[in-house]
Amino acid sequence: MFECMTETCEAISTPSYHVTSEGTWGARIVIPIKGKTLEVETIVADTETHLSVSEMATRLDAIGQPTTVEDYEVSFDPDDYSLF
Amino acid sequence: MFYRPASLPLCQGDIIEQLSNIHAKDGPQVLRRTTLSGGREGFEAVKVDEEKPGSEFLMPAHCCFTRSMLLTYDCEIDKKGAKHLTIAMIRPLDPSLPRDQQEIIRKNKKFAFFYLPLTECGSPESYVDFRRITTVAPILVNDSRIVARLSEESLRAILFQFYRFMARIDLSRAVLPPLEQENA
Repeated sequence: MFECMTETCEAISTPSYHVTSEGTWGARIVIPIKGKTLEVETIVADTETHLSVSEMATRLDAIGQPTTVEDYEVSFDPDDYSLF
Repeated sequence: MFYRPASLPLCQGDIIEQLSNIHAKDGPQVLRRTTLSGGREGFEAVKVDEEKPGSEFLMPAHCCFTRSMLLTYDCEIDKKGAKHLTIAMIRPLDPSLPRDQQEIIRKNKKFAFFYLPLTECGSPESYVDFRRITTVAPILVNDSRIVARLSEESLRAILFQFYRFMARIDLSRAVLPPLEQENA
């Protein structure tokens, strides 16, 4: 959780990351202010390395990779097949 | 774009043509230089308990000399005096595999594998096998041909798949806040 840094803001939720309409990476942060909520969308700088896990999750989701823990088994032994 | 143009210097995510992928299957034996019959130079295997614990020695091991992916981070590759590079074996996605098994690999649903699509140079579909990781000397990698290089996005994806293989983390539950909390 992010710490509130202003007098008017009561709390800031953990940001959720997603692909923005422009195709860049964005963070949507919900900020409750005096009983109302304000949604803020920001563009996340595309740091080349050291991505947060949540960033990775969204990026993976965008390219069709699963983000859940379900690990499928395979019924063949790779060692039975030829290599390059 | 899954791949990007590849040229030296080496990068993390490079697919290298032929490297030694070691698999220690048997109990260790020490290979020592000796003179064989007829004066030929060779090796003899002796019991490992004659060696001091923690020492490095030659030993016979199973090896697949085949295509591999460089997993070492870029700056580690570039360090002067680097002695160790980490590679993982790459296997062809055999067309004779049952179709449902092929789809599991293509969708990266088996965490031990990472799917590699057809390359621009026509190399067939394949997958990285994280269960087969080996340490090699840089000179062995430098002398081999680079087949392809992962794009930045693909590199992130394979690193995550490797992390998930090791950690089994459920991102949707462990990191992202529940929807009701997010919308509160």
